[in-house]
This record gives sequence, C-alpha cells and structure tokens, in this order.
Amino acid sequence: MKKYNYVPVIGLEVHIELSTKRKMFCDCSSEHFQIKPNTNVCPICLGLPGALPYPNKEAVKKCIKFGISFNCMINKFSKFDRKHYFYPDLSKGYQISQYDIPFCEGGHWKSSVNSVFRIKRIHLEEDTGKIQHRKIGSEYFSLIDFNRSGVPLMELVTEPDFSNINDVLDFVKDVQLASRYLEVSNADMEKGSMRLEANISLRKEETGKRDQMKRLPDYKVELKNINSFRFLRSALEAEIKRQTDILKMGDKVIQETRGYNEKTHQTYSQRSKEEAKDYRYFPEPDIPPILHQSKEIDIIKTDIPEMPWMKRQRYKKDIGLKDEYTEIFLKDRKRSAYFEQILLLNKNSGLDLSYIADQIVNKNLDLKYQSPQKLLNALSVEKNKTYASSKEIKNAADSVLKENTKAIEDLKNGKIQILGYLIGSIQKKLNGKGNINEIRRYIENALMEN
Amino acid sequence: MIKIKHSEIVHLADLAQIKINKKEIQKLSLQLSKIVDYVSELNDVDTKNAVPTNQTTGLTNVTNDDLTSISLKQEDAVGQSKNIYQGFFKVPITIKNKII
Amino acid sequence: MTTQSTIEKNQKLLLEKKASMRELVDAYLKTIQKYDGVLNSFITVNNEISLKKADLVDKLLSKNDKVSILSKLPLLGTVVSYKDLFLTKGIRTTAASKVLESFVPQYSATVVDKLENAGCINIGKTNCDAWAHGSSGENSDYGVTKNPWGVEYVPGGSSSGSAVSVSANMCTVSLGTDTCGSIRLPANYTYTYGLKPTYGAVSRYGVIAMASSLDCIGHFSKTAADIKKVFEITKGRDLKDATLDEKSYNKKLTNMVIGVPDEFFQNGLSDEVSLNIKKAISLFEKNGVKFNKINLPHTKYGISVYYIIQPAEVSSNLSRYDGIRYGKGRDAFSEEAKRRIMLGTYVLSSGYYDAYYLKAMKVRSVIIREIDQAFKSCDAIIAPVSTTPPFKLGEKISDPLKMYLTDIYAATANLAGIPSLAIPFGFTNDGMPLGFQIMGPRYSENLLFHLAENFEAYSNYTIKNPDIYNL
Repeated sequence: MKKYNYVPVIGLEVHIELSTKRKMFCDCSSEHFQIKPNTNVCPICLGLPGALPYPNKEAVKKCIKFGISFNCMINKFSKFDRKHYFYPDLSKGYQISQYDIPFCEGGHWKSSVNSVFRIKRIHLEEDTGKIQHRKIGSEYFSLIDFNRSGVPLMELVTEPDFSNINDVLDFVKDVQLASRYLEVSNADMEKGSMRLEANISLRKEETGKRDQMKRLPDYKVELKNINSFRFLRSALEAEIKRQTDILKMGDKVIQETRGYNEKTHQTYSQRSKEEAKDYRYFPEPDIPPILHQSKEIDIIKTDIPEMPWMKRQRYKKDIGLKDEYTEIFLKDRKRSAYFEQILLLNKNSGLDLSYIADQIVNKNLDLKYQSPQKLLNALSVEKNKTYASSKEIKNAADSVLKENTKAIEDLKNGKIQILGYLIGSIQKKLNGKGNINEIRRYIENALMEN
Repeated sequence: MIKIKHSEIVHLADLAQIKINKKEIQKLSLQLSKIVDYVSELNDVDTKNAVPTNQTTGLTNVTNDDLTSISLKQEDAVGQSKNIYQGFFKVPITIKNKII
Repeated sequence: MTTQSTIEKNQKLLLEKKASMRELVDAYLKTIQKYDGVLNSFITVNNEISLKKADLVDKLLSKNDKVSILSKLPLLGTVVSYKDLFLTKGIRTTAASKVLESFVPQYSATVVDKLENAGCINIGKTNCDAWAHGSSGENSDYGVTKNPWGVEYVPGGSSSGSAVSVSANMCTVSLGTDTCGSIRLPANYTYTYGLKPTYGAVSRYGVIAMASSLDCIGHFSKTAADIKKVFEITKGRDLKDATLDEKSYNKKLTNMVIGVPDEFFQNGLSDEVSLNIKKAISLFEKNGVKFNKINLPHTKYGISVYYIIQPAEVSSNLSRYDGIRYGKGRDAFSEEAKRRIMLGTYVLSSGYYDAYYLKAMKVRSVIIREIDQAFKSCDAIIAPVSTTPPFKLGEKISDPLKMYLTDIYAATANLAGIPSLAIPFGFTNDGMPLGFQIMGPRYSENLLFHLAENFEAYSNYTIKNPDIYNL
C-alpha cells in the first residue's frame, strides 16, 4: 500500500520599515514610534487635497542595496504604481507601491547547509496610518493616527520554496540581520519595523519516492499578524497540523486569511470576502520613473559589507568556530567587527581562535579591552603564566579549610562574603599563583561533599 | 453595442464606495454603456509598436534628499475633521474593510 | 475709478499716486458686489482680507521707490481670483462641491504663494464645474455661472468663474486649470486670453487634482502682455511637484510657419467658428506669417483617449475624499462626479485595464508622435477651441456624451502636454465672443506670446468689455 505524507509549501512576505530620516514621499520625519497622534503629518502623508508625492532618494538606495545583498537583479527601469482600496488608515484611498516592475527581482538566500531559497521580488511602498479600537462611552470606535502614514516600507516576497520550519526561522532571522548589517532598518519585531506573513499549503507526496513533480497545491492559506519569531514557529506548526488533519480526512482546505492566537496555540479564520481584491493598479502619474545604470549598481555593490550567511559559512569552514559562538557574533555587528580585527591580528599571536571566542563570549573581554590588540596581549600573558598545579591547590585549600571550620559553618549558613576570605587565604598560601576559578570550584565541591 | 449590466454597476459602486439607488443604477448603466461603446473605437487604432505614455515630461529620477522639515501642528492636522478624539480621527468601528 | 484695466495700467496708477491699492481693491469689490449676484462667478469673496493686504501694499509703496518696489513686487497692482480648486490657506476652498463646503485648507498652493510674494492680492475664489468636471460651468454645486456677454449663454468651463471674473472686470487676472480645454474654452467664450502652459511648467502642488497626467495650471487675462507677466511668476520648479521642469525656447521668432490641421476643419465645426478663424489666418498671412496644411489623422481619437485616461485618474484622485480627515463623506458627490468615478473605476478594473486604460495610453503615444512630427514642418499650430460658438444654458447638460464631444479640439494639447494660448477674436452675429487657439511644442510659451502680441497689432486688438451695466 502506498504511503503518503504531506509536505509543507511555504512562501513568506516580509515588510521592513526603512530607517531613513524622511518619510517615503514627504519631508516628515520617519520616526513615528510612541509620539502624540497626528503630530508627525503634513498635507502629503495626510492625503489633503492637492498634495503631491516626492520620492526619497535614500529609501530607493537602501532598497537597491538590500536587493543586491540578496542577489537580486535590479530593474534598469522601474516605477511606482497606485494600489487602490478603501480603509480609514489609507489617507489617499490608494497606496503608492510598485506593481509589475519592482526595484529588485529574482534573488536568493542560502541556508547554512547551502540549500537555495528563491526570492521573487523586493519593492518599495509607503506605510499606512495606525488604527486602534476603543470603547468611548457605550460605543466602539476606531481611532486613527497618521504619524506612520508614508513611512518607507520595503516588501520582500519569497517563492514558496520553504518546506521546513527551521529554514523559515533561519531565513527571517537572516533578513533581520541583513537589515541591521546594511543599516537599512532596525527590523524590530516588537516595534513593528519588521512584519511577517506566511502563505502555507501542503503537498501530498508519496513516501520514499524521489524526484516527484513539485507541483504547487491548488490552495494557500495566508497567516497574518504574527509579531514574533517564536509565534511564527508556533503558528506554522499549528497551521501545518490543522491542514494535515483536514487533508487526511479527504476534505479540502479553504483558501483564506488566518491569524494566530498565542493563548490557544491555534490559528483562527479572519475570513474576509473571498473574491480576489481588485486594486486597479495603474502607473503613478505624479512620479517620474526611476532608472538605474549598471555603473551605479556596481558602485553600490562595493558598499555592501559581508552578509551574515557568508560570514557564517566562513566562520564554520575556515575557522571551525562553534555554531553558537558564530550566531552570537553575527547578531552583533560591533562584536563581529571586533572579532574580525582579532582574526587579522592573531596571525602574529597564534592563539587558538575557539579559545579567544570563548574568552570573549563568556567573559565579555571585548568590553574590557577596547582594543583587540590589547585583548590578544592579555590572553597571551594569561597563557604563559604558570599556575599552581591542581595538587598544590588541593593541599593549600585543605589546610585552610581545616583551620577555618567556624568560617565554613557561617558560609553554609549564608554568609557569602566568607568565600572571598577563604579564596584569599588559599591564594596567600599559594603565593598568588592560584587560578581563582579553580580555587573557588574546589571550595564549592568540598562544601558539597561535606 | 457594449452593455454594462446592472450587476456590474453595483459592483463598481461597491469598489468605488459610491452609494447609488435603483434609479441611478438604471441611468448609469445606460450612460456608461453609451460612453464605453463610443470609446471602444480605439480598437480601430493599430498600436502594435506603441509604447504606453503615462507621463509627457520625459523626466526620470526625480527625488529629494533624506532631509526632514516641520510637520503640521496637531490642531491643524485634525482641525478640519468633525470627528476627533484626543488628537485622533474618530470613526465608527470598522468591520471587514468598510465603515458602517 | 474703473476696473477696466491691465496690470500695467494699475501699476501706473499706483506709482503715479493717482490711486491707492486700497482704492483699487475696493473698486473691484464693488464691481463684484454689483454684478456677481447675477453672474455667480465667485463662491468666496475675500472682503476684509483683500483690503488688509491692500493696506500692506500701500505701506510698502510709501516706503519704497518705484524701481525697488517693482523689483520686490513685479506684479504690484494685480488683483487675482483663483478657481476654487486652488488651496488658499485659511480661506475656504470647495472645488465647487458640497463635499468641501466647509473645508478651510491648512496650506496654500505653490502658485498662490508665488503670486502673493510677487504682489498679487487674492480677491476671491471662483466658481467652476465641481471638481473641474465639465465644459460649460453648469455642473457646480453652488449654482450656474452666467456668461456676462449674454446671461442665457454658458460661459464655458470648467474654469467658468475665473473667465467671467476677468471678462467682467471683477479682477485683473485669474488662475484656472486646463485638463481638456477648461481654460481655453471659457476664454474663447468670454473674449479673454487663456493660457494652458506646457505640462510640467507650472507647479500643481496645492491644486485639487482632476487628472494628474493632464492637469495644467494656467490663467486668464485681457491682454497678451498680462498673460506673459503672470506666467513669468507662476512657472518654475519647486520641491513639491516631481513632474516639473524648466526649459527655454531657443528657436528664431521670425519667418514663422503655422500649421493648419486638415482634420480640425471638417464636419462638426460650425460655420461661424470656421469663418472666423479663416479671417484670423488671413490677418496673419497679410503680415507675412506663412501657413501650411498639416495632417493629424489620429487626433480624432483624442476624445476617446481622454475619456478613458481622465476618468481613470479622476476616480483615483477622488478616493481620498472619505469624510474622515476633512469634508463630507462620499454621498455628497454630485451626479457628474459619480458618473466619472464609476467610469474611471470601470476602465481600471481587473479584466478591463488592458482593453481600455492600457490601450488609451498607447493611442496617446500615437497622437503625440503625430504632433511631434507635425512640429517638424511648422513652428505652431492654429485650431478652433470649440465646435460651436457659446451655447445656451441647458442645451447640452442632459446628454453627457454630447457634452464630452465638445472637447474634441482641446484634447490634443493636454494629451501631448504641449502649451496652447486661447486668443480672443471676433464675435457672432448675436454678439457672442469667438476666438481660436495657437499650440506650440513643449516649452514654447514665448513663441505663443510673441505670436499673440503680433496678432494684437495685426487685428488692432482692443480690450472689449461685456455690457454688464444692463444686467
């Protein structure tokens, strides 16, 4: 009997708020977080009669940079388009976005095991205002604040290449890292400067049969309003389970939009009318098209630092660094830059890189030593120092402990400062040659055994 | 003769958030059908080699530098609305992308 | 004190201390008070504000000498009215629609600021077809505007009030918009000059948008000199409208050749209009200007192209009126606005975009190519603005398509983005004004002004005023 399993087919949509000073189409500041409502607006982003958009050069540059770092092709000719729909937080009744000729197309990302995941497109658009629902008196109202209206937003859409939740999480984390590396955004999930949406369906595949035709399923469910990486994982797991159960029963999964309830760990339907939305796109007449020449793109390419996934490969392969240390360095660009300096300088010191990484991570020595060279010097000294042997420590410690039974009682009863006194006494006996940590560990073990 | 059905008129009114009554549906169906029928004469024009014109200026790459300037004061921003609440614009609760 | 004047005359009066700015403004206000009850060309009259501004000008006049004040305020003495699509900070702006009945803008249009800084005094906001939707001046939510040359006739639209306010001497010049003849038609119908500049020459920032790729900011005056003076101030880049450009016209202004499009003088053009233009052509020819026949076979499709692109852009530009941040809700739109919004939504909607909007954009390219080709064999093109002389109120209003077809000669200039100057010339047997337009390549306004000034000499042009005293 043939056995089947259901393989997830997942595509992602990531929205990233750019960290430009100015909004996308007007001179308002793009800093909108936690300020009084409607104090960061102008005729343009407020959609007043007669206002016209004027694009932000820096936003376009950041989008191109981001696209190049994900190996996208940059369209030589690109334009903005109007996307029409009515909603109270959309001040013009249309959003200026990009439809058929986005700035970036056809890129990819590689996972740590070199699996390739294709990026369909990356484009620029403007953000909407914010709505909150509140009860005033006995009625419910929607309160609208346009401070966020017009902030530059980058939208990244992947092909539905993901079938493993771990890859999805690794990818979105790298998107966040890339944003920070390129200084295009802080990509903060909590602040809403990075937002995630996932499209999920399941494909029926015969177990064990290789090289099956990778057809796309005939439906997809859109998961929205996921505001943390943790919830993304749980939401995907919950939805995959839900769809698997339905398909196993021989039923069809309804194509719809769903949200995730973190309390029940279930996805729920946000069913809106099922007809495809008609956005009536047409080219934005108020903004001339944007052309990019190869020369320009080449110059921008030189401005792009090493991306996290490249660095990850290098640390793993060339340095043999532990995965957890790698991720710690990747997360923090400053620390990463520090470590790169160490790599350069270490050619002269010849210390073990894993050892150095360990010292930095566990003892925050990069904070202690502002200069990487000084850190290397300090570690070299440490290494060359001759410590008292374990046997010498044992002898010194045993004799001190014997002489201080009352102190030990006090220590056991909670007087922690006694520990310092004991360590000091032992170190004195050793003429300062004891490794403090080793001494402490010996005392702690001795106490436990007693 | 191109005929725009009543159901299409209703759908268009919905898309455009325009309220129309039965009489208007009838009238618009007739009028719009006539106009659309007239403009369909464009099908007679050979546009095989024509690139669509959406702007006549021929301009490209018009952008502004990443500099900010002063925004409106809150009272000016919300002052033209009849429904405000503590600096917010206030509308009845939205359901399904439509205001009730 | 008479308001039958020009910018130059007003400046002379002021500088020779024969009148104060306050007296001038007061004279215009009195004219409005007396005649606008019948004509209905103003929606808002700035009674106190204009007098206050006049006082400021008088102060400056007393402190500065002639040369320095003219360099500071080149349009000193100019009293201007604005079509009620132009946002004027602190002064109600309605678009002649009930939707914006109580809207008081938080900012002014670039052009309004430019003109004020040049010394103009804003006397009021003029009536128009609501949202600029119309060619007769009959589509306003604030009542019909009448033609001062004959109150049973339409003044033309959509900049009806602007044309009438200049024609009836209620202001010196007036600003309007021309998306498909909305300046040129009322100019011809009221015996005034009307300029539709090159698309991209004058900032649209702060002017309520009708059709974004077609709207041009222009103005009315009684002389070619005044048309030129105002354009010198309104043109130019700002950092608010991304479609602006500045270019100069470098061709020679002698041995002019003017093209006469064969297609424009065929069926549908009234004999009176046709004969009148032919008279104008002979006047030019007598004075050495050459004419040659040109062919613009695709301009006949201009109306269809226009009535696809314009409603599409209108439906989009009117999406922001949801009553939340300002104005009333969408129920306050009148019939014509609703019709255009629906038509625009149709041609943009999924399934129809390619057949209509995309096709129209392509035919637009064909028309533009034809015009560009024509300008290789002539410096300018002469054409009628309207198929008929001014028509009577109510004559075309019940049939939208009939009304739309009046735009046939105007559409070409808007589709191609080229400038056109409407020149007043001749009258019908009933005493109603006639005229024609001269179109030039993009940024050739100086050529048009030159031709117009010369024509004033050829035709012994004198300013004519409607007999409003018998209203």
